[in-house]
Amino acid sequence: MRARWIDEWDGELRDGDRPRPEPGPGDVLVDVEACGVGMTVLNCIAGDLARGPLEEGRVPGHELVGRIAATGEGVDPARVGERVMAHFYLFCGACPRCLGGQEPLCEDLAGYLGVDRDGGYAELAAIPARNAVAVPDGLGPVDATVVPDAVSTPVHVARRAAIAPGDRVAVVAAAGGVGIHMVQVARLHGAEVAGLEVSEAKRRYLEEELGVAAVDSGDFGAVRLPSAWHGRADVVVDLLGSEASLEWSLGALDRGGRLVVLTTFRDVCVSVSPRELVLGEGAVLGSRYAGRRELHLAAALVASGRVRPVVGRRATVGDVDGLHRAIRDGELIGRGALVWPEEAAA
Amino acid sequence: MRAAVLESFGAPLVVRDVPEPTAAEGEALVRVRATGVCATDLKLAAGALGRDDVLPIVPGHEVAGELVEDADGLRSGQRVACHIYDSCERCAWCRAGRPTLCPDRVRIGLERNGGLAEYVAVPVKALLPFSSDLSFEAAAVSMDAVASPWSALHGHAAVRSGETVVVVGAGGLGLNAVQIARAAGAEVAILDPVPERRRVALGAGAGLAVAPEEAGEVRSWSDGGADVAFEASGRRAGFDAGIACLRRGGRMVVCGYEPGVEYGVESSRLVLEEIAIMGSVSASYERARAALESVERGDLVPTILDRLPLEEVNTALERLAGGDVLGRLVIEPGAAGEGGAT
Repeated sequence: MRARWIDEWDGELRDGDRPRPEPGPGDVLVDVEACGVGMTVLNCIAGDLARGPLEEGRVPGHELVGRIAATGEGVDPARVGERVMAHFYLFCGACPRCLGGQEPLCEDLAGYLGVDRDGGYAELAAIPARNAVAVPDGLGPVDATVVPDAVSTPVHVARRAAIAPGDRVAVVAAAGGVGIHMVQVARLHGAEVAGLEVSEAKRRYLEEELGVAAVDSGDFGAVRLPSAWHGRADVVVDLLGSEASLEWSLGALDRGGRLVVLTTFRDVCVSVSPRELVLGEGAVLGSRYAGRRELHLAAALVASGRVRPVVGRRATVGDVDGLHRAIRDGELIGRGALVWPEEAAA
Repeated sequence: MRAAVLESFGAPLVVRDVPEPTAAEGEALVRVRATGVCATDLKLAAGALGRDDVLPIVPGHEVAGELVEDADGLRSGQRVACHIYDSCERCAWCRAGRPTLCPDRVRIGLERNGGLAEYVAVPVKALLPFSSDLSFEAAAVSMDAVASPWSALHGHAAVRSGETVVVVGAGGLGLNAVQIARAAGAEVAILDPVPERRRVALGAGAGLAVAPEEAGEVRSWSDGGADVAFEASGRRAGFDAGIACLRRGGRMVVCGYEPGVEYGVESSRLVLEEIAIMGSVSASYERARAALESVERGDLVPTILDRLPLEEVNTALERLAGGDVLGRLVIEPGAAGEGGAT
């Protein structure tokens, strides 16, 4: 089968034939229709999430969507033909966290799709059946690629930060794959939303296409939130996670405000003044991906048209490298998608 | 009447005669029977609360006593505790049920005269009646030393039965937090460097009491870590030890602070383990009432270390500042004899 893969972390993204995967016990074989492409794929390829050296190469791509072509032992064969999207954490499904719908906090996590198992940069992918979440009818495969991460993560954030009607929600890095859906999900919760972005093209997209107040964050010392906000936000979702953005985010919180942090950097500490935290009853909330239940909620929001899936650029298997470059250069708005078969992307 | 007055920051309180307060419209006069002293009183006296326009002031924000006259359906002589906050009731935070965040809030004993006096005038809406089964001193300290950890644990951390809670610091708030968490059905561990404090905490219901550097023991004792950490020590080491005890998805609720101290947590731990860090200050009227009711029910018995007359208030503050206090010190302004307002 045609695939892209790497032989070592941070190595060349090869293009060619790979052996067709077979679904093992508990697996489903997915005929991949499309796969989401964002910064996380590049981080995965670079080995940022790796636990050890690669032995037989790895097919990246964790946001895959496709139809079940075959089932492994112990999986209901009636699932063949079902369109699914991947929950990309290789959770155990049996620990208290998994049973409680907190799969990202799994106590026996076996890693990630596209890192510890082959992912969606291939025609076929064998994934655990419990990771194959049904895509609702009426949702096409390319639109569905934004669901398993780029919409599900905001759904989780909105629930975790208890975003409520009237809240002023500022999203840092608002035109990236997660950000561009975060602003929409926050608005669905009744919030007033401002999106912070460095590039003018991205701010224009936020304003013109989504009707979101766009704020220039080229210099965090000069960020101007909408005037009616009086310089403060009730919730800041920091998708950048740099020291400068975290410092701005904490400073922007009003009394009772919540900062949601989703990004980890080595040696970056989130510093808080306990005096401000206590007297303002602030909250700093770490947030990690989403549970399977939240993938269902996110899919429903996209299928019903309440969240617009923003796929800024499609690529075929042969030209996904150009899409990667656009992401590195900060040019992509929303998510990218690798589309199978090749001609469908044209 | 006799009152303890803070006349200048950094100086001892002056116990002297002052005019009896009168109840303005919407207020009631309370004959003070017990007033707890608290670390916040030390901050007030040191001028560390950021307000220099409050002097002279009678401190004392943990107040219980008897109504001098009928008020708001309550009869003269009714035992009442006083909710600390007089908030505007108009701002967004008041309307959201969070009067402790009201920018215009006025607090008894911190921005208006409080309970270190024979009488205090308080807003009628702040009155919390309680039965004669409950002591004045227990009711008084319920307003802060119980209500604050009650609000932190129930309101912010939403502690549930079957969870484990680690309490950092076996001081006045911490010992009550142990009992509140126990009454909520949680198992409790305490971190405190002082062996004597750990012993008291075990008596208050903690299942494990270790020094902060032995925080690792909490993880094994709780089968992987605590669900909730309650931090009231105000110290960086206490915060770090509390965070270190948490399991995935754990909630840290911070109730105490020292000026100029900064806390930090690695972004990887915060995100990958979905840690939540929440600040909690005091309690709304509803939560203060719930805290008082839990004390009335006997869910917890606030530790009253000692009762002192008003004339010895500076002794109480010095003992508190010395840090060897395993519970609350309570001043009894009315203990010397009958007042003159009735």
